Amino acid sequence: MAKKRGQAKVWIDAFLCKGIEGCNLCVHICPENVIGASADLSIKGVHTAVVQQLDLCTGCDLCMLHCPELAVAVERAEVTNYA
Amino acid sequence: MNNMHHPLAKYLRPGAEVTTACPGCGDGMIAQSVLRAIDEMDIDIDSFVFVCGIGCAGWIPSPYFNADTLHTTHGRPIAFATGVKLAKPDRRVMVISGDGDLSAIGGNHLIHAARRNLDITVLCANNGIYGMTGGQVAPTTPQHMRTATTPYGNPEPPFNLCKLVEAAGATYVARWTAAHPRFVTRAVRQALNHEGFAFIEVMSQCPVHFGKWSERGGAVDLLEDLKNRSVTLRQEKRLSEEEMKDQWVVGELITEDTIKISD
Amino acid sequence: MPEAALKPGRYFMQGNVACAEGALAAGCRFFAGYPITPATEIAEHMALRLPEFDGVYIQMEDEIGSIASVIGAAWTGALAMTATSGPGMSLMQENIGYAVGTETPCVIVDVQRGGPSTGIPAVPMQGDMVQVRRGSHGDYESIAFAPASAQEMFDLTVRAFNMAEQVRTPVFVMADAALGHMREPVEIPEPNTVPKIRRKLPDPKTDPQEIQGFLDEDVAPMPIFGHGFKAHVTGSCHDERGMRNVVDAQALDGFVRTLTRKVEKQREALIQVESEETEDAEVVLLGYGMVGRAAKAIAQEARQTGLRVGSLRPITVWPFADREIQTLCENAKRVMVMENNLGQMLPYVQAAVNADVISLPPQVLGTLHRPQEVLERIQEVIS
Repeated sequence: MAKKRGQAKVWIDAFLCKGIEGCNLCVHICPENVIGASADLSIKGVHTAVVQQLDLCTGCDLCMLHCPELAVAVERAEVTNYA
Repeated sequence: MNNMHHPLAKYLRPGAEVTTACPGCGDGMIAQSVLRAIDEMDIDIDSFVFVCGIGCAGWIPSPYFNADTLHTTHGRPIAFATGVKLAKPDRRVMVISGDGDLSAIGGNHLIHAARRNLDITVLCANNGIYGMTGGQVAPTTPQHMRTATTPYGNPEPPFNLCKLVEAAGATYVARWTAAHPRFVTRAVRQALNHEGFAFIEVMSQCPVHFGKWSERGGAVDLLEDLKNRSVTLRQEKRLSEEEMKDQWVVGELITEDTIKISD
Repeated sequence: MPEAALKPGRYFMQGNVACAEGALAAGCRFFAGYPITPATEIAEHMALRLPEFDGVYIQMEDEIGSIASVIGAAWTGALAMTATSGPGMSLMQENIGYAVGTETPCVIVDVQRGGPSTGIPAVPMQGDMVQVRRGSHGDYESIAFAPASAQEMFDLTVRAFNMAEQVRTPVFVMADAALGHMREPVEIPEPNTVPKIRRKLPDPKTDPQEIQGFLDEDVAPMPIFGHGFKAHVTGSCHDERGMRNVVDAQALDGFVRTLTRKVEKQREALIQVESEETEDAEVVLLGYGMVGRAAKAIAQEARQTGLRVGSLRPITVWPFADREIQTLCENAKRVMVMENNLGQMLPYVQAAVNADVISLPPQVLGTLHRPQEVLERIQEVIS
């Protein structure tokens, strides 16, 4: 069965993000390569994680769950309960 | 200011939304996993008292969580929590602290609270090192590893905290890692529903100190390492002692119901 | 629980038991402790009586756990106490500092014994008088009372709770092994005549983020747990809202000075001194606790032989009653500081008083001063 893509919105707060240099967890954990690194340095002097290919996003939430700063938020079109 | 779109942002104390954690720290992930459990269970966070000690993990609830928090002296959150729970049993008392705080200086309070089967939840964020003070050896540091105070290699074997707490009398014991966020959330839910002493050990990556001294890499490498070292109870049965040497068991290890001291 | 309260009347009571009954009469409903001679009877009596008041007793694994759980209980709103002796006081110092820094009301009874180290558990000494003032690290004020009788064990424990609630800080009751273990008549009052001061709480309508529950010289309202105050309690340097500031020296300055001023401003409510015949005295015998009784009796004996001797007993030992002692001793030639130690309060008396101040331990430490040894020293100065 094909994955449903383009089903979610992802927001990454560039101020809360502490940068891909030291962290990079959301970039790494995303199975669909939605997230990449910013071109410019943020106010904190790091390259932050940025959403680059939102149309590939399946709304799996892994990026949100793996962010130590609550900087990544995912809102899915449909909500599935896991617990 | 927090990320307004984040479903858990509402639990954060205004003005304290930026964590003090290093980039990629597992403790930040644990904070989110705990808040997710509270959110899923629809519990009013004001029904909690969070008690924490000194060390990076102590900063998981304090000042981050917008609730009653008691940030104690080093090693003592469980003792303070004992007073809170006994004097006001209607509070949900949750201790969140680190491996050094809870098992080194605080070890005695840990085993006695477990022995008492005190109705509290203790989440131990175990990063295998003393992170806040710069990377000194902890009772959970792997043997032979170099640290700031074991430059020739750690001569001491580490604790198995889950076995320690089980032997002391805990009636709910679980171990997961920060790399298992949904399982941590589930364990927290089970612990909060459990009547009696609930202990959750969450192995946590410390990229800046443990990563450096262990030479296992940065946040991403350590995260994968946490997953690779995790073995389920079922898998463990098929492994030899030698194969288990650098692994740990994850899952709900002890879940039996007994009478709690608050009765 | 009026039924659980002792019927008013005259009882023949052990000092330690009187202390415990005073705590209960004051409203103490939480005790955490660890057995230690010569304070254990307080724990045992509280273990027996607290359940009758629907209170909580717990024997913790050590003294550190005891004071920790007392502080935790106090933050839920309870009047909480522990009782120990010298070795336990030493262990508790870190958390005592925490209670001071977080403005946690609680009562700590120190039934002092022979020291240093294990010493002699059942022999009295006044060995912790400076430790109670400065035992924890950092700069802070202490409040300590020194009972001299089983009656005062009751009365001063009540007062300790009231002052702890009024000033929002730990208060110490400094007894000793003799006082703790002896039995004397004690008048137990009608429960509703026992004064009960209680800490202020924030207005429940206040926005939790706006609550200023710390660092007010006039004692901030205490944002106890379970009321939605979202208290943030930390031993780190913090501001009026309890939020950490570990960066600015200015914040540290405020933290230390405000906590100190808070106690200093209560001086009048806190200081109690008893004196007898000091106005025309050439020699004043100064003693606190049990030694104060000896000082008084010996001064009276000296008067009977025509010597102009007076006695002075600080009931409040900290804050130090420097002004009161100075006034009471202003006509004296000599002040003899009688202590069951080698002169712990001595330097403070010396600083306060213009007369010649000498230290007078008992000939044998751990025993009461004998009249003869004191009279001889008095006669050196006057005849």
